[in-house]
Amino acid sequence: MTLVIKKIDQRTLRDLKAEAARRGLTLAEVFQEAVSLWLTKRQETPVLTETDKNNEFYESNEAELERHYKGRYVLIASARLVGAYDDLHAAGEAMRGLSPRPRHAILTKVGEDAREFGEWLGGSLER
Amino acid sequence: MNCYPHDRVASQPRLKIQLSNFAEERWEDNTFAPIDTGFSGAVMLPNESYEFFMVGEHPRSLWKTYRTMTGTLQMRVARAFVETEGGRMVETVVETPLFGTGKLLLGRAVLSSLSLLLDGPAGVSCLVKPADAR
Repeated sequence: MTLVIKKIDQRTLRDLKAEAARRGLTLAEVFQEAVSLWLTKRQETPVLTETDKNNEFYESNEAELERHYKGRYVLIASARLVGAYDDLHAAGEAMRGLSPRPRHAILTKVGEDAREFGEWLGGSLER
Repeated sequence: MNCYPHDRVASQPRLKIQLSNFAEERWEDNTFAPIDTGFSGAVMLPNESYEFFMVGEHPRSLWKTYRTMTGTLQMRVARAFVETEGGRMVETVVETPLFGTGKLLLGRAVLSSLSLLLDGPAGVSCLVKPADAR
């Protein structure tokens, strides 16, 4: 496939061509590698950050959430409490209404969700 | 009764399911999920598929720990809905390993709520009666 890129900085392009030549790569190969790296980085960084921020909010407000919203679903997104809901459908409706749409949010039934343990033995482990 | 052919390559029994995130948005259509009675959880997903469900994730302090043949494994957990053919949408959780790629599996937390017939010689798995899953 042919791709035409306009308004690229001449100096950047010159450096890129020189580096590609030093490594014995075509410009297309360098471009492909650069794009892959950028996409991987973009996918990992925001997700991790959002997850961490939401969890930090939850952990620092856990006692207060227990006090005010026991037995209710709380939804946390963008490191803030979006709302507390009596049923899952209402929480889902709130999520659908969020704009911009977060990639990560915490949803938990306060005081009822608990840490669980399980087993994963044999079966499909080897496949 | 709905019957589904086993996976041709792995000869693994499978069931057709429909997963949705907690906001009731559908994830792909009609997924064939391998049945794994050795997995005590509900639905395991590969990392990249799990991202769709991350809008309803449990706090990390409540993520699940599994005992495996090679040690312990921590899983991220998110609320979701699962639906089998002829059944209604029921609440469940989906999980993916915190470290590792994960895979699509249907575990006992869902299987125990269904009436299933595993017909090995015919190479099919049949859903005799859909029921509430957990």
